[in-house]
Amino acid sequence: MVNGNRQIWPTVRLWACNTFIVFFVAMMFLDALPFAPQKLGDLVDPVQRVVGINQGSWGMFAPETDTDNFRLSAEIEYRDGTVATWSTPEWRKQSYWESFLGVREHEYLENVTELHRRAYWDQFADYIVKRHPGPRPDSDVKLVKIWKQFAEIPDLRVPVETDDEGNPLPVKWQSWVEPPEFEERSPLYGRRYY
Amino acid sequence: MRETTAGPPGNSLFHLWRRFFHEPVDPRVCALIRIGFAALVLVNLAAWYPNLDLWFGPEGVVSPQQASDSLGPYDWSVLLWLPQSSVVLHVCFWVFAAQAACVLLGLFTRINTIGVFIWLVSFEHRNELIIDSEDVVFRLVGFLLIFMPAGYVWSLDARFRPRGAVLPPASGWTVRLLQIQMAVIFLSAALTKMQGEPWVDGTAMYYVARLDDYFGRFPAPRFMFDTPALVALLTWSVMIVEFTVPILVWFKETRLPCLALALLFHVGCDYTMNLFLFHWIMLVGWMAFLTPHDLDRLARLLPGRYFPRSRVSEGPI
Repeated sequence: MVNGNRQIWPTVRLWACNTFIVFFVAMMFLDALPFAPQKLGDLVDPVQRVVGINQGSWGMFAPETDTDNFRLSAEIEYRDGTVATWSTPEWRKQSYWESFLGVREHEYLENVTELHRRAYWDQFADYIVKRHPGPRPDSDVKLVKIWKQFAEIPDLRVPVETDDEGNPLPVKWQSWVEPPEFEERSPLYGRRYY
Repeated sequence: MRETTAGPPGNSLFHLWRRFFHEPVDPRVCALIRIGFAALVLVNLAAWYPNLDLWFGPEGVVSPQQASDSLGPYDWSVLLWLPQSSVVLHVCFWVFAAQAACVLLGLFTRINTIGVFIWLVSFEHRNELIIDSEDVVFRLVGFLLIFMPAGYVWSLDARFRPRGAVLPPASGWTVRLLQIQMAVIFLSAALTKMQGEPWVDGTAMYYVARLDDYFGRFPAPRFMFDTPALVALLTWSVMIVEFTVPILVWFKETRLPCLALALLFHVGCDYTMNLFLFHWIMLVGWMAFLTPHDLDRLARLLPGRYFPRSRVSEGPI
């Protein structure tokens, strides 16, 4: 019986491996490939999430690329009337190490201000206060006002100028080394501290 | 002696499967993946540490309640199961770092790799606002590393192994899965791009090059992204690379050129774009396609004590 078990075990292991392989590859295809049937993908999603191997499709700058740059700015008003300002860094003026180490901050600033993330905006205001080495202690903050502004990258598919005969002129390419031209900033959020 | 056979001689699919997934793998490949993965995890942790409480603490940018609410019913995070305090967070972080260091050194490799994977999932789910694609790649590589014979060589496990200890042959199925995963990532990216007008009409790199928070970290020739024809060439080149590499890398004749192309692609992207460790963890994944012959050639270039040769049978490819 012991010898029988010893002979069975490698076969059991082999078939367990093979079953795992089949399921893993199937889940990978269903989760990652864009044309995979959604219903099947939804079926395997719970398993992937419990195990921790969910991935989704790999749409990096795709299918549509981002077409605008953003900046955030804030005013921090203290109880004695002093006002300090904060803004997102000039990304291209950062040193290599600043941009390398600041990538999580960049990710946070990009994600937190999306409209469906309003629930996080109180902490975002707190974050600005903490990050800013203000002229007064953080406990003296009365109000934080946050603005967001965009600089749209000219859409090459939409001609905006026409010649004298009304024919659309080719869109003028903005050089990639030129700084973006930002619109007027618009208010995003305000947090009052009592 | 009882003869065992792999199956009926006519069962070519079974033999093909067995040959593809279950031939022994060169454990040096697994060790390289282990070392690369662990090193990058440690770099990631070093970048997290200065703002650890800000990103993951109970008084940080995402409260524990908000983190719980943002998770799906099947997502989990060990950090949300534990008492919420800065002390507990720091203890978890240092356990994570210690386990990653053990994976790097190959000490109790498997159990520590499991620990690293659990921490990767937990930290990722604790704050979704700072997570991006590279964290997904970290998780996937970490998961597959659990099942690899990653501590067989170039590890403290190997050093402390009793003399004469016989290890079971290292089956290559997890390396195969990592190879398939890398191919799927590229294919998925290519297929998703094909659905986007800017990628098809050749203008996508025009827009990408003007995203000043991602692009332009190192000097690049101005004309490369200011000339329509070159922009179109670069745009379509990205798609061609992402479409052809995952297919042609499987063939002996085109494997090395594909790996060289992938290396050039990732290094080139990392030079121009600020995507943190994404391209480096991808390169770790592509190492799954290295063969014993490649490693022996590399060993000839390096001093023996830095890259010991290992006598193993031919790997999966």
